[in-house]
Amino acid sequence: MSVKIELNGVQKATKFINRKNKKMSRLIDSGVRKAAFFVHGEVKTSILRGTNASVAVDTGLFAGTVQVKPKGKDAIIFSNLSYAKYVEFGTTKMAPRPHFTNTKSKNKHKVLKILKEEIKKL
Amino acid sequence: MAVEKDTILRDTIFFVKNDLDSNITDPLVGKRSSTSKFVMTSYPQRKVQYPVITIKAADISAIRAGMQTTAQDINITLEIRVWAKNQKDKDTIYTDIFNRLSDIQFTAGGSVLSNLHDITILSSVEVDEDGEGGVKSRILQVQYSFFEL
Repeated sequence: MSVKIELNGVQKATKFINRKNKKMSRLIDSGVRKAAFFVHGEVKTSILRGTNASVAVDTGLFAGTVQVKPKGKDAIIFSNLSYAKYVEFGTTKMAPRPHFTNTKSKNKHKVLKILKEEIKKL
Repeated sequence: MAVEKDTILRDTIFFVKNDLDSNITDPLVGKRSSTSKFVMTSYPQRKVQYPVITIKAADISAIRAGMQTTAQDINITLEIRVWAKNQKDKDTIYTDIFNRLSDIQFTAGGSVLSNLHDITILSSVEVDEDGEGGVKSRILQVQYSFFEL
């Protein structure tokens, strides 16, 4: 006696899963990009208006050099300015004004919300 | 001394401060003036004698420990900063702190028995000041979890 099992639609199902997988990957990328630009804006606001640490404006150069670099599922928000690290972490002569660190901590939940909303589009 | 929820910030900072103060070797031992301290709990406002270690709580976040409970699982991030006049002191003290915090996890009176669990080193950023004699520093971000039971 033998039993023959035939599975129909495997190819179709695999195609469907692959398509969803690709879409999910694209949505995560776009979610990360949206979240990164949101945090980028918040860091600049913090520097200019002191929302997350004391205002750090003299000429406006520091705020102007804050950049965002989304790269797939990662994103970096940074400033290349030579004295940016001194403003962020402080020195022996100046207390820290942690705009980047505080903005990151304050917006953790908003970033997650942005990502969740994007993924819901699947 | 175990960390309690009602005084979590103070207890956590003082647990780390007291441990480092007693167990990290001060390169100025015997030479440090009586008004200067090796381990401090805030950004130094007064004149200091380098090297020094400063500890502060950088972030604290919490989530509910479960359904139908008011208990919380709390994450506390400490910023431990080593300030020194030269790289050697800075690196030596940094390494000593790094090793000490890892080593005391399960010892008697260690971090786990004091209710500070799951130590995570989040980052260690170097911030050296420019110029001759510029003060070197390294910032170690350490995260502990506190579970309210």
